[in-house]
Amino acid sequence: MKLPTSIRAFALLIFFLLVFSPLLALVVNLIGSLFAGHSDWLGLMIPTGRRFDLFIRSMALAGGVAISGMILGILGAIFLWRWRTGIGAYLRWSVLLLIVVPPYVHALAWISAISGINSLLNATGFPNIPFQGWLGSWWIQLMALVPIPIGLTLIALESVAPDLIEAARMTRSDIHNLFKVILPLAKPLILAGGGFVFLLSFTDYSIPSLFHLNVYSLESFAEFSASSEPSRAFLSAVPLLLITILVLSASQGALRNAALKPTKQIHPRTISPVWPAWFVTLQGLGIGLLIAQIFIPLFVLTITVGTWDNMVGAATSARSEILFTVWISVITAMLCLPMGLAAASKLVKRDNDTKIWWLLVTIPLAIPAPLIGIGLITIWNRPFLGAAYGSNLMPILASLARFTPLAAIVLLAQLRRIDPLLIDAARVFHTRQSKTWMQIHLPILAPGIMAAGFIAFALCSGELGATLIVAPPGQATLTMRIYNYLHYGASETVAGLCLMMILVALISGVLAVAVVRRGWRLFPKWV
Amino acid sequence: MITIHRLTKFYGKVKALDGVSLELNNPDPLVILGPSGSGKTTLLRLIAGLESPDEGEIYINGVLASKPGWVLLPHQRHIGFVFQSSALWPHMTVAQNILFGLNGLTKNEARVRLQGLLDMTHLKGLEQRYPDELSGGEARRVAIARCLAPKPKYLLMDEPLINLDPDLKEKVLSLIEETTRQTQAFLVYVTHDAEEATKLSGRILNLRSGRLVI
Repeated sequence: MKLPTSIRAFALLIFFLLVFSPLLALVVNLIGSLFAGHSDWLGLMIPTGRRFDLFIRSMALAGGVAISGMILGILGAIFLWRWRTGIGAYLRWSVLLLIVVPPYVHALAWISAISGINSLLNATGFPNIPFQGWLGSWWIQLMALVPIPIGLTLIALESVAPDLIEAARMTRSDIHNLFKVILPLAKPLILAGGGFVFLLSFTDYSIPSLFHLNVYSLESFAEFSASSEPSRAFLSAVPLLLITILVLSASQGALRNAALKPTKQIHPRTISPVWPAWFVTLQGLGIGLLIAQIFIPLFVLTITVGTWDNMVGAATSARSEILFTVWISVITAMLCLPMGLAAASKLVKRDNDTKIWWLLVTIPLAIPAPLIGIGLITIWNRPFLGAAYGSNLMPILASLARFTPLAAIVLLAQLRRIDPLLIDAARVFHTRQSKTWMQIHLPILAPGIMAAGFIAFALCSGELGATLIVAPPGQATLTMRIYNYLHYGASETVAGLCLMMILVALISGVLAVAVVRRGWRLFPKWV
Repeated sequence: MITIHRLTKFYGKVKALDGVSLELNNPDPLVILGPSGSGKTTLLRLIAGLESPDEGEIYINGVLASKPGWVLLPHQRHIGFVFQSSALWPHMTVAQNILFGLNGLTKNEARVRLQGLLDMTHLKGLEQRYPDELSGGEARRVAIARCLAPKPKYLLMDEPLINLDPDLKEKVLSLIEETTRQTQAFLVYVTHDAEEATKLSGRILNLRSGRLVI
């Protein structure tokens, strides 16, 4: 399944230019700074004193979020695993949709919910829940990121061959088999999920800063704000980069296999496992948290917004931000598809070269968002590029650099679902490569393309870390506006905007799931 | 003794088994012969307790084991099952695979049991290998040894020779006969291959479209 060769080569070139250019620009800038006699800056690479404390604190926070995410992911995924027929098959994947809801939306909802609970506690003479600092940061990051471990654990469970489980069931209890057979077989992907959560938590500063917790990922941003020196910002981010690349490299084997392995269905009539009471209780707690993760934001924000008029008022007041967000998200989603497809076609093989391609495609995911923004400024902030630098191109480039690798992974999953024989059959009849591509490849790939587009759209509309740095003067995305509002507490306006973000994210997610599940049947005219 | 009474199973609107009644009490193996889709595997899965019937009951040694909506769990039935694939756990060695089903034995007892099974199935020297280091025939022998380890009273085998070379089929079939004779377990053997069915000295029942044909 290939794009025509020349187009693919061009798209790949653009992919690597877009994705790696911010990092390369920072490296080149650093070399220049070192030659200019700033070798003393190299000390920034080693966190000492306050920065060391921040580094350890960030590791602890990310580790806590990752471990609790894995536990919750296992409990949730085992529960959802049995829902394989009818509406349950849709519902279980819908849990994963909230991954596209930006973390600060969870933050606002939970801050409001905890504030309400604290009022009740005060009235009854009980002490408040201290929802600032560690607790708030950990909880919100867990709530925002838990769909990742749930999704990857679910994929891992689906990949365990059913006869391996049934063979174990013949002699031992289900709980014994869970710990001795099922979880060990699913372990690589569960750990990869944990690794991914660690990475995202470790590189995020927006949520900890909302809860007044200083973390290391803010250092590069702070360093850049204080010195306007990209090299200093880059050097201070090196420890962060090393850890994230290490975690990503360790996880990428499992991620690669997850994208390559077809899922295996347990026979729908197989007797459900019987768990002991302690496990059912634990699972109930986990499911309770997942339900809260879904309904607390919706419930609290709806209550805060109050009336439909308030919702309309919020939308009207943020009209220009909404239009700007939709505009850059649509452009990003459309542009990332051909490049993502070109990258995915390099990942689809199963040889040793593929491992290198995987590393190249996934490493950009480890680059903290502020660094991408700073890298882009380093490239584009030049007199002869002034028109582009102050334009809407910058947030688009930032989102492309961040999310094209993810689009490539989604497209790879679709490529792997396609029977190669379908393509071979097409080759028998069509001699022109472009005709085969348009009439056979594209319609078969359509669900993956649509899903990747929707996901890129949702993620781009919630992007903050890089956009905050590169947004043109006088322009702001909806996310930037909400984030600025959040520092002043919840209001009807900000709640209305957050609800809008949830709706955008959920609609994108539902469409993505629907096109993947319905496949080419959604495109009858094309086939 | 396993008693199967008017067992019926639907998959959607398809009747996979249609009122099958059987008594498994003869010491000779029982071979169930039938083409693909005749309900052979479904019958074995119901006996094993992996699925519940839509109609009918299964009794094991006079105790109700399955009825619509309720089953005695598979591991409580003392039944061994060899699947079409070897279904060996890839993260465990041969020894760990074989010993998995043993419960309540001391280390020494488990070691003695393992040695006995390795001898019986001609697997000596392979106990520390992982499944991906075994040939197809070796993997089937491990699956049989694993199935015999907890000393089940009944052995269910679902096309255990599928995908094996003809030479290997002969060897594994002899091993199955030899081990079931030694362990005195009651064997229910399912196959679509009439030649394979006649090679096993036992009672042969034909299953066609979910019904037993005499």
